[in-house]
Amino acid sequence: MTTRTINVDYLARVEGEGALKLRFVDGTLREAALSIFEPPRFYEALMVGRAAAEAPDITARICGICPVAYQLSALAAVEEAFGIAVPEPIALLRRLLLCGEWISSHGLHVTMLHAPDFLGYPDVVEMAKAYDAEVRGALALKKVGNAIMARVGGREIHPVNVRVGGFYRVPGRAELRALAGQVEAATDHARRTLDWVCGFAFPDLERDYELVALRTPGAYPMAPGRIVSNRGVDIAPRDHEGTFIEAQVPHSTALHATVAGRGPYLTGPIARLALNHQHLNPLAAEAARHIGIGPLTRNPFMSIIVRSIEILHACEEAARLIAAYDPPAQSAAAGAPRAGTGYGVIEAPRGVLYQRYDINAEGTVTRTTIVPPTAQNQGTIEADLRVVAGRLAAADDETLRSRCEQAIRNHDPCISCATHFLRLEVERA
Amino acid sequence: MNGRARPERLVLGVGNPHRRDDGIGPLLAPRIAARLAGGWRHAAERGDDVACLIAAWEGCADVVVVDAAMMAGAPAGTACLLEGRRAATAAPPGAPSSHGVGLGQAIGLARALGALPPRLRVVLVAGADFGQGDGLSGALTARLEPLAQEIAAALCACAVSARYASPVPHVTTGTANAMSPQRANCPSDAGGGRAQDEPKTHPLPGQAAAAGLRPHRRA
Repeated sequence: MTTRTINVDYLARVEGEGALKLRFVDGTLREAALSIFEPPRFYEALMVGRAAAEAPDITARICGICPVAYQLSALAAVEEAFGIAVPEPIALLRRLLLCGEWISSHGLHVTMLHAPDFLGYPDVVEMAKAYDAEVRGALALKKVGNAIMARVGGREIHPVNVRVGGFYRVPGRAELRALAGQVEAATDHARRTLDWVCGFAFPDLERDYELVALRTPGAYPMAPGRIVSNRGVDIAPRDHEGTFIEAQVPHSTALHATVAGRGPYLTGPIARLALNHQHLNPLAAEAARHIGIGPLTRNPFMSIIVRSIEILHACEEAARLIAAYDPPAQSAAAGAPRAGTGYGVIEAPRGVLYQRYDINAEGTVTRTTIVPPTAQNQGTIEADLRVVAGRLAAADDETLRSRCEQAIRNHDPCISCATHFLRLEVERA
Repeated sequence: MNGRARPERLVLGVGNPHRRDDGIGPLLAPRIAARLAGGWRHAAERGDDVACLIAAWEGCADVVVVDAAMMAGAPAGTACLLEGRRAATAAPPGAPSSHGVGLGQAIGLARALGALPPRLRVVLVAGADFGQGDGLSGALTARLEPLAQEIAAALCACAVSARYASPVPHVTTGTANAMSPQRANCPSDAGGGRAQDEPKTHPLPGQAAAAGLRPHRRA
């Protein structure tokens, strides 16, 4: 019996600390594990005993690249528990904030983290020597995304301007209009990025995922909505637990999620497009048609194209929201704490982010559940790895390693987000 | 960007003030800028966003980046001044992540894009405590003002050295008399900045010291 083991001790160009292990026995793949060894971060435990109104700002700290998604899903949950209906202008301003996050996160991932895989460069620094304009375009996208978040959220990383019911302060019309030129330029960068990535060579792979995304009435899902899948899931956020199951696996400090009774699923850009393609903005829809990307993308390596389509969509959305912006008279809807349970969902750049808060009459959190996209995608990432590595069993270690890392980066995993969990039990004698 | 660089001078403090000694850069930046003659401004960045870092020095002709570092075997407060190509060794090469695009990668990327300022110097300061919390460790708190003075003086000497190609000082604040305690009196260096890629002719801090440097990874 011949055993061949390939360990990538520290995955690069992903967020957080993870590793990959492949084990072959007599040339057959027996194990493909995405090991997440970043320590648990205890967020669910540390929310207990805190004021529910603090949830948006505390959970935002889970992630430096998608803090807005944490804030918006926490707000949705707490506002549901408090019985607060957010006025439409506030909801639109939140959507604009999320546009900034999508543009910034996707722009960074597509060009700085994922594109080097397709072009044979070890990193973006080396790639920039040959693809100067493309990297400058990515930096410009990041800058515009940051500018939107700073203008609406008070600052680009971990915004400070959101609050239960709305915002502490809403920007004036002129403040937002000042961003219009930058957003227009970003739209051009997004188009060029999409043209560029469409020219990449994509490894041949077809996967049959259960795709899970949000669905919001009449719009691409950039606000709370129902959770749907291509295999029949169609639930309100309050039915998340029971529909989806989280379980621990020995090699990961993050929980793996499955659809109850079925198995792993995929959330993120491919799922969003498949389930909401009819709501893409005009430029993004036309670009998708032009390049031949239909609703369903089965090749995960082509997620870079779908992500680029979403950048274009988010730029258009931001431009539309800025042009139509009329500052609301009140920066936040009124509401008082009350006992209850709230369920919040939002589409983070990497997929559905779910939060649940149990709150007592004083407005204090008694229980929290947070299910980030990367935890949901872990099982699917490992399933992808089994297929990719299994086909490359005869390849040399370096080929195998780089292709598997590329397959992991297809899903832009955010490991620090995934390791927030803890079911902490304290026994006192 | 370089072609239209304004004669602007920037001290850029990099670091997270909520991770103890990692916050030394933003604390030192205004103190150093105040001690330098010739209209230096100062700014602060967390240092984990490559777009922000490169944007921060866009249009500047002369930039000093001040960052915290872990230096093997060096006591807290040890500082090291790097210039030119060696400034890129401010961080070991490595692939950026979506959260952690470090100073070294930002410099490397800016170089690849031709987006480095005409003159870039990096000052690294060894910290002792990079745990969570506000405020510097005791060792660095006591050294804050002297460090600002010594680094400013070293930068002034560095400005002279750029003109006359004398050795760039290696700031070692743990060593007695390494820096002049007087207020720095910098000569104007309006035209003295070297092109970033001009070959260096004077020695830089020792290779061993540079190899032991490791900027602190921010959370």
